Amino acid sequence: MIYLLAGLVYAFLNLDQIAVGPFLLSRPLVVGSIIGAVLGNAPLGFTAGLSAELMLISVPSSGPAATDLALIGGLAAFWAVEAYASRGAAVVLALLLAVPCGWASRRADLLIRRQNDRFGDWIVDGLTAGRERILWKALATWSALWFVKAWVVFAAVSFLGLKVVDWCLNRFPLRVLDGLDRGADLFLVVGFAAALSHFWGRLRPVRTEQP
Amino acid sequence: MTIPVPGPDVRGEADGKVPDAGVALTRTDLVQVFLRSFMFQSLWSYQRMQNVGWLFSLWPVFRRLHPDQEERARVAQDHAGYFNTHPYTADIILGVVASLEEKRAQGNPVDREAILAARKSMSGPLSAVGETVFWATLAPLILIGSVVLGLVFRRGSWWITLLSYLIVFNLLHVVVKGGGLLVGYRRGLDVAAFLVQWPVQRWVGRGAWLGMGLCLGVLAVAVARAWHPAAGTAAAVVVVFFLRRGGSPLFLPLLAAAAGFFAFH
Repeated sequence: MIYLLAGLVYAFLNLDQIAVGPFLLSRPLVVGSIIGAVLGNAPLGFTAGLSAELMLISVPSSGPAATDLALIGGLAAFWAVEAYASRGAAVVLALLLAVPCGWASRRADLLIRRQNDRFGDWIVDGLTAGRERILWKALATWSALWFVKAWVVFAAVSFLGLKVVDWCLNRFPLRVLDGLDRGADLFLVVGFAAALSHFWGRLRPVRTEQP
Repeated sequence: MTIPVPGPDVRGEADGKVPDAGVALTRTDLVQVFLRSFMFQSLWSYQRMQNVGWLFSLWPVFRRLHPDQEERARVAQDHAGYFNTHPYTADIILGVVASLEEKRAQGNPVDREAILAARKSMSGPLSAVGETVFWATLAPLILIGSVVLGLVFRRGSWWITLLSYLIVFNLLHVVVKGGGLLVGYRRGLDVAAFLVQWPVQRWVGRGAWLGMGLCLGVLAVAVARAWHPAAGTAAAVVVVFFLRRGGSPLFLPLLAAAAGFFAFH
């Protein structure tokens, strides 16, 4: 039940970059905090979301972005709050697992979006034929389909991922978990260093080509 | 930004209809365009990018200026081509095109090709401005400012940070969208001359300096609070070096976990 509830919140916030917006509702900080609040531990959800937000501060949330930031923030918060043991290592494991999930999800989204070309042609054909309500119908259908897709994906991945995080917390040696706790202490430092690098890049762009 | 000068084509000849000098867009039409422009990103596709969002946003203009359904369908077909820009600066282009379409409907010598060329030539530069100003500068700057605000008010800091982030950014972007639509509509093609007066690049530079200053301040506090200040400082230096060399930020959680793990042992 809790997977469906968190998935519902994620699917609603995810419409920000798909249907109406963007109002930044799909940024990891916002998704993480709200899912944390829904699950009863807003500060921990906020911490997971803020860590993801700062580290991925240079990644835009709209268009053909490299990764699904909303999914990363949402899953990291969900697994951090719902994990077997509430400790820094849970946040680290949650974020480590959420990043590849966000990347894989965006790859799948790109395949779906390739079908939009046909959808667009269908709309233009409809408009040319005088069916003007097709614009509303298409936007409503697209938003509804995307909502359901986001809901199902979040519920399924959060269920499976929680098993993995709990397995790691149960089976990893205590020394490893202590080390990961230290890693969690460094998250804020790493995040602000990433933000610093981002602003630095606004002044001096990264040189990728050879002279 | 180069915008083509409208050609000598008369609208009535091109569309096969007698121009109506009295036809004009109302305030309600512009409000509808503004509200619809929040769905600009819908149905984004690889082939034509934001063409559906463009058609959807501009539909109240077409409905007002072209009461005849067949004519409206023809205009929609003209506007259904490739279009891509930043969702927040799109309203400026919407305003310019609405103004040009209105002039054309009134019988002024405005060529449809010139309208579409103006749309195309403005989309690239305004997209770059939007990306630089909103995604790369304002959003991160407001985020860092909100975190600092949350650190100042320790009680309930998470929701203070969250609300400040959302309210300040969205207030700014909604004002820019609405203002952009009005400026584009009132100035038409002259909007380019108006926009180049704004020292955007200087603002971005100052914003970046402010952001760096805030980050360094919070970083100093965060390093002091880390389990070991030396490890915190080393981690910050490694992260900045890694990212400046072109490393992907997706690896940062792994980097932090590995640093904590190995430092502990």
